[in-house]
Amino acid sequence: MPETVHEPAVPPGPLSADLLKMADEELFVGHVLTSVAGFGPELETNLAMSSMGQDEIGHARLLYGLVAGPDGAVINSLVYDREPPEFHAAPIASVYTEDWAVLLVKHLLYETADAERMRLVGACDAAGVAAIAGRVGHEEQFHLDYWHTWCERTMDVPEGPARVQAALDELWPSAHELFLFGGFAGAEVAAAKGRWSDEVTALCARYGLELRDGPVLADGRGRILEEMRSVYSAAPGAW
Amino acid sequence: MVTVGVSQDLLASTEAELREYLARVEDPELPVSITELGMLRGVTVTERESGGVAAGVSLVPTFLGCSAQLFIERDVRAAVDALEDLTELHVEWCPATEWSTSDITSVGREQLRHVGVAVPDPDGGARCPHCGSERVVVDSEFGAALCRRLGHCEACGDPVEIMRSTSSGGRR
Repeated sequence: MPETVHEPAVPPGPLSADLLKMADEELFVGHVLTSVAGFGPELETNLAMSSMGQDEIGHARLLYGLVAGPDGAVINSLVYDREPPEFHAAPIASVYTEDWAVLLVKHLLYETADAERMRLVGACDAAGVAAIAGRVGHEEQFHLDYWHTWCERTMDVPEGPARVQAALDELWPSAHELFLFGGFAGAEVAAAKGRWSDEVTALCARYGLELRDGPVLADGRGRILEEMRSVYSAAPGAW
Repeated sequence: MVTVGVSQDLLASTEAELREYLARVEDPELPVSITELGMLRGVTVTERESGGVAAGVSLVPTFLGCSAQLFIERDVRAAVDALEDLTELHVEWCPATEWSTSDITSVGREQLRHVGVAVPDPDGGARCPHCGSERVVVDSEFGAALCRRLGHCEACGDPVEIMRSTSSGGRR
């Protein structure tokens, strides 16, 4: 039986570049989570890391599909064949750490941003794009709940506040790049970023944390892509 | 409606047969069919302009990142391949459509109970698949698969897997 040929939902342009950036970020965030699964002190932590990682990679695939169409081979090529500079992820998405406080702060900043970003997706006029925002947002809500719970618990142990503050000092100065977009309406992006910033500020106020300026983050995509592609590149052409 | 070449009877019987084949496709991780799990959302059987019969199958993933989707799609194609009257098949995943544990049929719930998996009631409570007690508690929102939580029964002490969806509780 003949396969159906699907056209990409979003033609190349600023909007597809934004969706591709979000896909790249979800992919990196998901990969790091699945990689740290196993380091947790208890089974439940590791299940949470791997499940949330699987969710993020699933969302990445969906976003790649909006840009490239549903052909798995084309999506694979986006993931496995692009050169590292061709990925457009904000540096915070590629933070690769075994430090719990850094992982916690990364996800608090990322997931609160992602909830606002999904509102931008949900407001898109392009056919097929807005429709995915609801489900993705509902799944992400579990992640946000998880990290909020762990923020409370981490801040409650003696060394918690200092370690969370140090992680915040490391990640916050670069986190705004999650809202570097060129295709979504500028005013809407600014409003979404403002709501995100307000939410992070309120969270910090609740825990006595400070948002401070500092050096920008080094990009961690090299390690992620090398690790993600190690099996693929061990036998080029075999897949 | 006037049909050329393909009779309404053939379309109807093909659809019935197609639904029967689809009802045999099981989730790769649970011995329950995609029909009973509520993942099958639509079946269409139409006559093609160029002749022959085309079928469309719409599926809803339990979670968007569920890796079983690829296997389910493969199994759907394989199952339907046996349908001789079909000339074309479209399998479509509907990522924008929500799936909920309340989409699982009563047959599906019973089959899941047999393999130690509880399905939450609409109010969020779940009954222990081993002893029937309602004292099932969730230990972890995340379980062995995206569509399952980890829990245990306070009455019999056995571990219990509980089906999970974005609408089945656990959110603030």
